[in-house]
Amino acid sequence: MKDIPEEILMSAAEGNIDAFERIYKETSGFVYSVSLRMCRNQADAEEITQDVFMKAYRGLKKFNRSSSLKTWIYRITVNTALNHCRTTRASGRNRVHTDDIDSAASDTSAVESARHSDRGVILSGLLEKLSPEYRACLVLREIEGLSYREIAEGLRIPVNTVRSRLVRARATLLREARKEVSRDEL
Amino acid sequence: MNCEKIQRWLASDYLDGEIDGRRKHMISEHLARCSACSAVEQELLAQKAGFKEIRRVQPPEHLWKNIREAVVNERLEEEHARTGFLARLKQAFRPKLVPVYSFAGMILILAVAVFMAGKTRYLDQANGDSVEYSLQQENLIYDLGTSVEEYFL
Repeated sequence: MKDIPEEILMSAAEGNIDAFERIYKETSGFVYSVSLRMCRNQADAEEITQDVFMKAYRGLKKFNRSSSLKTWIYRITVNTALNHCRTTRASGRNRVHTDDIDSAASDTSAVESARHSDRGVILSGLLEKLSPEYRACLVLREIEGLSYREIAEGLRIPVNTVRSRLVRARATLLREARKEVSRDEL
Repeated sequence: MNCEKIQRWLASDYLDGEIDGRRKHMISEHLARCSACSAVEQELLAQKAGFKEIRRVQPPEHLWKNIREAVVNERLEEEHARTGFLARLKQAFRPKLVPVYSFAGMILILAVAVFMAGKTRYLDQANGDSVEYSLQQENLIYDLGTSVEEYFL
């Protein structure tokens, strides 16, 4: 993400829609991607993304620059996605559409589809086995490439908590992947 | 360092490149001797490679249009609420002020009239040639003279 100039932030905070569009263009990629990996279907990801940007628009005036814009927006994204996951679970809705995600992720050409191997598809499906909090840490680390410190700031948790969630999340994925392999062998 | 601790480091700092040189060296030495931990390392590396194949997905085109529309609508609603509130405030006060003013005006006129009447009686009493001062206590009446000067003289 390119650094957004201070005057663009100030302008967007005052309600300038073109300035806000600039912020959207720089950040919507990771917002949508994280939302999709957290909630596992496109409709929910779009809803979460829209919520995130409305919150960002309303909160820009109060954004005090104590963290970077990127960290701030990651925080809003993960919190919104986590709340959405909890609401979805509580209501019993479970719209899991693995195919939607991976067809959205891959390019349309057959060559590109072939390159987007089974391993990524399987892993993407296994993410659903994780609790939303563990999934958030793993997505931010593995897909978004955030450091432990950035994840800790974004989620407002200690670095050691990030570390232990990653350990548990990876152990769960290994365990689930071994079960899949055993099932396939049978 | 035992295998449990080694595998914790493998699944966190070691895999993510967040480990310091000394610890990394210690873990590498352990992996060279321990096939169980070495197998876990290979699985974790394969898992990490799998994540690299999960590409970031771009949001659909219509999403910005929806967000822009929502932002513009929200601003219009805020504007409407603000001007609507001011208009309602003015409306609330304007019609009620007429009878209030009228009533206040009447009270004022009455107060002035009472004041003027009281003042006039005082002046009449002060300027009159014969002024009677009397004290009335039950049936006893003391006639104290016809003027203040005569009384003291």
